Amino acid sequence: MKRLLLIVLLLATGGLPAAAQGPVISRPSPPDRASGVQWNRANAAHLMRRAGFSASPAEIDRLVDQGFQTTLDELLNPELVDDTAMLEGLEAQQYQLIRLAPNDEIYFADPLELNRWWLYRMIHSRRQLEEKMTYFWHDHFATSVQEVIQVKPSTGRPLILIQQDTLRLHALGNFKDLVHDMARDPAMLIWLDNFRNIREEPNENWARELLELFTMGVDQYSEEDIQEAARAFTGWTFNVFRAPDEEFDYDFAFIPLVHDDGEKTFLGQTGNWDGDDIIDIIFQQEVTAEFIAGKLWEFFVYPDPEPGLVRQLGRVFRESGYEIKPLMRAIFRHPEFFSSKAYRALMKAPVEAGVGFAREMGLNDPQFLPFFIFQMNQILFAPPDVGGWTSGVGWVNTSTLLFRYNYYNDMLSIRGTVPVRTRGTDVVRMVNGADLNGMIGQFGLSSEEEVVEHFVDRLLAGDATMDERIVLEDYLRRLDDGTIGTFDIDNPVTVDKKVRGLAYLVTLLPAYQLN
Amino acid sequence: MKRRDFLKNLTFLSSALCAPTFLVNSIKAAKAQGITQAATAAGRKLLVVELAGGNDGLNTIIPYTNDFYRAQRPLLGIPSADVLDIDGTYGMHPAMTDLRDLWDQGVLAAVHGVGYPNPNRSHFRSSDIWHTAAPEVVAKDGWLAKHLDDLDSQSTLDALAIGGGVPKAMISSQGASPAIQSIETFQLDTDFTPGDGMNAPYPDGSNINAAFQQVLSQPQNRFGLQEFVGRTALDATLASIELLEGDDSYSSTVEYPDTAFAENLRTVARVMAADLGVSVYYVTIGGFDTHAEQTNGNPLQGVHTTLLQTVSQGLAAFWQDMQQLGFDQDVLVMSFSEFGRRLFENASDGTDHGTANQMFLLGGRVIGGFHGQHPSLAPGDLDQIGDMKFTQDFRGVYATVLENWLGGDAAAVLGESWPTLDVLDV
Repeated sequence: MKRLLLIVLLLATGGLPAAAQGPVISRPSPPDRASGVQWNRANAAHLMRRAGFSASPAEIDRLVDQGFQTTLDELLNPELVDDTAMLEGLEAQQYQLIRLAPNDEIYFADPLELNRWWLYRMIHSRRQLEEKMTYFWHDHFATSVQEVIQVKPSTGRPLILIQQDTLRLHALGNFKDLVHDMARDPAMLIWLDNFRNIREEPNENWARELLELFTMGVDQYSEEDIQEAARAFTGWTFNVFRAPDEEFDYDFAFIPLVHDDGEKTFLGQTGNWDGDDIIDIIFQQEVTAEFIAGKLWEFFVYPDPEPGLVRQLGRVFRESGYEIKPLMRAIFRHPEFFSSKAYRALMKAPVEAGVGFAREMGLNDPQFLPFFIFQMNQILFAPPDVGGWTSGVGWVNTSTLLFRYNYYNDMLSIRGTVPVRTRGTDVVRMVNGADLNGMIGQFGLSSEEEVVEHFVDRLLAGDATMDERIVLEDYLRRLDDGTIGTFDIDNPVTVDKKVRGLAYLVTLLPAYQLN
Repeated sequence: MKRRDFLKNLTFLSSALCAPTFLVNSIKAAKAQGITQAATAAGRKLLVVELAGGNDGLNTIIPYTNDFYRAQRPLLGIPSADVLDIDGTYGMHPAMTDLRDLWDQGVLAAVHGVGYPNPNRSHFRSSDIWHTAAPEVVAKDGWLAKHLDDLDSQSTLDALAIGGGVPKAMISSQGASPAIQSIETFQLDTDFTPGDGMNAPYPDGSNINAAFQQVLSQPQNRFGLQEFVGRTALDATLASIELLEGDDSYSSTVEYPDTAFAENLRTVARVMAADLGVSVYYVTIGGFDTHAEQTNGNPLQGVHTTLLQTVSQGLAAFWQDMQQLGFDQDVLVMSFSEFGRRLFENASDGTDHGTANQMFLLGGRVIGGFHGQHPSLAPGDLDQIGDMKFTQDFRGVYATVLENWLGGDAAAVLGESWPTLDVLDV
């Protein structure tokens, strides 16, 4: 039976008329005067897929018009970009970030609403790079709400969100400051057990991951270094000494009583180190700058960067005193960033796939998106472990690829705008589908060539091969029985049936799964 | 979409002018099925169960009469009276009554003290070492993938990971095995159904599928990651149809426990029953990284107890199903964890990353009981961190499974010859 199927498939899928092959070359444009970057729609879309979560055709037009330098300045200086519309919209969504435990008086974080909250920001924020960097740092200092579910009593804010406030604050700031703050972050103290790291019983969990995952990378230190670092962080915990009427509020405190103030030898330096000293010694190591710069390059540009490139970026990072903004500027301005080696060279993570599709198609509400990214093995605020998410090729396997396709299918199945009540609340949110008729009208699309061109541009920045375009145009002409007919945009069924199917087919293309 | 529709769609597409090489390879693989079956010794199946996070082996198979165990585990030690005794020296955790029964039936074995030289205590590195069977160097190819590559079976479905992603053990430079969550969700939607239970107003699934398969038949236009995605999409669409078709042949009266782990094992049984030629299965259960609150204060309760119970009850149900399906002589289950945990309990009611650990083998051809020698717990015999020294290299266990069960070339897969263990009666 299996063989029969394969043979049928073989017979059926071989032939297409001889056609021009290879990618379609986009219209040439003059290079940006200062940077030498070919600033066209394809490269603007490339930049926005990396430095943000993709963009609508209108946004791409705006960026192409204003030029590469202005676009880069806008991305790198989020404080100059007014984002109040997003914040007001976020407020209006009424996300219920904390929930009362059943039959209890304790509040805890609601992971589902937290996911929607962040996905809404990703879709609507005009500070795209700030949001993308926050996402990067969340993956880097991977902490999970599945363990850190607590809420800070005095403010009602989930600890995991307090951590994200810190990540966003330093997103394009100073990395050393970020690490010092993470060492005191309540969610991190719980997640890696340092709150119970005491002189009598050192717990090395935080110290190990600080070295292995957060700063230096594996095998750059000895087991003894980990044990010594753990001793230095003893007593970095919560404030447990309070006035009787004072509520426990997950405030960081250094408690000398349980701190090991003996001499420690860490990375060859001996002294009466505490946690801040350990972090300072870590930042004296050249490998630290290179580890972080290399990881950023892999996230934003392409995997396995050349050693010389990493050394060069590491130098930029170190010489700026670990300022993130100059490093990111160097990355986006690097000739390799717009090279063919970097182009479509990264697999979209589920969050990037879901948010990108929403931004490209004008889907405003991420109400259903969490369920889809869960299926594709990604839950925001809940990386699988402290190592963060498996990046790259690992996002796509036969199973997650079908989930990804089916997400596009489900989103394309929404017609108009539907009210959706959030379970267990009175909150009703309006979830809209893609306005296909509006797109047809706005851009005056009528022929199958125009329709294909439009959606290949909107979703794929033009990156479909000639062979793929021929299949897509051919699809628009197919009748129910599979024979070829004519494509008629004025037939009332055409948009709901064929244009919807066409948009779906574009999302199925292999290139669309890549950033 | 149903398989029938899929075939119908394809028939009106045009003739084969240039057959993509990977499709040809699939055809070859289908033809080579007979050879593959012979190589894997008449349809033998391996199920690898990964206990991710580092299972506390010392509280799984418990050296409960050992004074050093008692001394170093004052709070977490399982009281002797509660241990499910095996031989007066070792016993199982009280949550494992089902596996204790299988032990009595002689189908369950435990290999003591499995590890590798210069143990690495990082989850990621140590997992990679187990997955690639390469402790000395950073290797990219998984050990199961290398075995499958050696067989040269390019069938879409010679191995399957169930319940999550593809483990590194099943990925090589030549590709990755498919991974599925469940048979039901492993299907491509082509209808734009507006909502609950409503029909698609204008279904066009056959045209969409036909166009998609046409696109996937153009691999000559794709390189690198695009090529990988295209191949994965083709594998997915083919495998989804085969699985749905084959699933009709599964029927069982076994009631599996209501856990994700057990549900994944049930899916393994369903795929086995479908008889699609899958020889290697992989299921992961996580959560074993018990640095803190391994118990809830009572050493008999808490996180670790729940995990062991889930594993024990799940495997017992699976084994019962295997017997009903008549696969008990054809199935071998092998469990592992990236490391064991430290003998000395920490101050957080937990245990830190350790080294050597036991591996379990379950199957009708397994020589039940203990194999090998448990590492000494005496302070002078531990390494400088305070961890047990391994007594059996894990590559010896892999070699045994590869050579004596899967009929593979262990030396080729592992890069060198390892003495096999006498744990299988084949």
